Amino acid sequence: MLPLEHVDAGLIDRRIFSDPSTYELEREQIFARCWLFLAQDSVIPNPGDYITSAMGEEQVIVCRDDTGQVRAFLNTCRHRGNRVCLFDRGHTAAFTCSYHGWSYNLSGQLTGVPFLDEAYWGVLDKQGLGLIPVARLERYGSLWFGSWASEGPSLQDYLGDMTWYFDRLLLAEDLGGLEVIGGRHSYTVRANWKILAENNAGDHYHTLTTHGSVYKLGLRNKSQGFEGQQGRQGPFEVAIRPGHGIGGIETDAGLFDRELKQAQELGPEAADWVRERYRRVANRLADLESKPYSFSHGNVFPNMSLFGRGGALNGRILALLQPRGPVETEVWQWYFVEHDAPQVVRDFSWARFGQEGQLASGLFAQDDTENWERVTESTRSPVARRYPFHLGMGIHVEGMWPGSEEWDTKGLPGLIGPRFSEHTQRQFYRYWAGLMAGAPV
Amino acid sequence: MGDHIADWALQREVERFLYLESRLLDQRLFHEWVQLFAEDGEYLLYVREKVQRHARGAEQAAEVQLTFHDDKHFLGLRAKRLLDTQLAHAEKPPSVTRRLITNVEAWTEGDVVRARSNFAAYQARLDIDDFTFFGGREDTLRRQGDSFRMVRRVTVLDQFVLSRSLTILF
Repeated sequence: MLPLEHVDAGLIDRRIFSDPSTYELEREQIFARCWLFLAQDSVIPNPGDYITSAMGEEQVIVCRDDTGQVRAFLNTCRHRGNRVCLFDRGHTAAFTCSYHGWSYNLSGQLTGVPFLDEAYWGVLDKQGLGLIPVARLERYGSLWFGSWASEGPSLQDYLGDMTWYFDRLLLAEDLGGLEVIGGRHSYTVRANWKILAENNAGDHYHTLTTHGSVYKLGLRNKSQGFEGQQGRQGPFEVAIRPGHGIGGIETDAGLFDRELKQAQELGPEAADWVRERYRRVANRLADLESKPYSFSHGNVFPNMSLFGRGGALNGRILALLQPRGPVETEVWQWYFVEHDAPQVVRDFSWARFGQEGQLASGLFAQDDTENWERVTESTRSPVARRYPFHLGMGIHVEGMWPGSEEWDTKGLPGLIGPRFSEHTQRQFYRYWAGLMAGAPV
Repeated sequence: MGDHIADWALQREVERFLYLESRLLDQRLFHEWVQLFAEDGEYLLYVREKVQRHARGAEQAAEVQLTFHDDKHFLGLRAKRLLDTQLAHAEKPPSVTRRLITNVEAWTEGDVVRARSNFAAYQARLDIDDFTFFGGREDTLRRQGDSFRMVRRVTVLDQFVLSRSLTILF
């Protein structure tokens, strides 16, 4: 349905956003093979902690066992399939099925079977009937990913140059690491998951229109990223092989000055933190010719999105765009602060998340979801479907954007493009189309 | 809080205030609604989450998670966004809503009035999309003239996964 020549020409067949057979194939070719985000360390900090999640539509439990090792299993009893864990998150010593009482420990082993001798005459392969583990489970930094494919690239290879950006903009190891605040926030969007993923991967172009009300209220400033010509220090949109993206990359330290002003209004503790934090970040970036100080959005193929600003006064958001059928997605989000940030900064950044940001109450999320629902709806009817989406922005200059020689992006990996570009989205669909046609992960 | 000897006059006054407040939201008189908040007013909204705290014994099954936490100033910005920017796409065309307020309990606590109520908030958008949100509120009110001002509005929305992003207020 989506030949590579079409992607290269910037033509995206509408049918891939609502056709049920495409979705069924995605469940196999994408979600049963790619690395999928599971949890960040602080979400399940101690042995016995768990969350329930989904890999595609496979329900899973992600927990920390007695030794502190992270595990992930299908949330289904090996007896007759009931869910063995019904909560969103919690702390437990075992998972017990509510149907016949089979019980599994935190390592997934079947440890309890009621009436084993009497009912089973002692004949039951308990060893072989543990919870089904995710085929591969690997971490990068404090991020855990799982894959149903028992073979394929390692997580590190799969993430590729995204790890370079994770180290410098997301994981904040020199700021105490990421610490989750609260639980998981979830809301439903009646849109195909790819519409959200590609927007989060590389769409800076929509911000001023979709989120125009936030600018008109003065909560964001057009001069940052929209006025004038492309700045030589950003923002940039970066396509990262095989199908990831990160954007809003800025290589000037202007955010520090703006944040210091804001922090001074919050008090001396906040201002001290902004300065101290900048010192540590500058140290982190010291050996780089071009220094990425902040980002705003990103997506790890297929459906793990990240938001932040890379600064002191905004936290980080990790999101999963959980597919619930071809025309429905559940957006799950976790909000993180930097562990070493003082309480006044944590509180301020949290309020920002709920007010301006990506939370369902946030001013940004609201206008996005409306667009995406209407886009998805447009892909369902026979005549409209004949007309592909136009994803051809800058296609004739891709990789050789005028002025790019002047950009302060030396040493930054990935295909670095200007703020207004669709090259990241084209790369997303190129990778998607290849996987759907059976190409290896 | 448990039983209170019903102060029927107070009950009626609080009901009237809650109906007024609800009508202002349904009529999209958002600036007037914001003015019902005291200058130090706060608006909090929680959603539900299924958290298992104990392996055995009492479990908090339907905990709450903070989603909105606005001061009066930010509520004013939300109102301005909806009515004055012409760019609140999520409400353009505007939703129609109808709120039903019920189960009102009102009592005095020191120099404030406390109130509980339940709501069903119906929202219709675009063509045939409609949603109904259910939940409860706990309010702290301060008398002002012959009415009240909202000092603290705490809403709990009874959903684990929100059916859509929240473009209406509760």
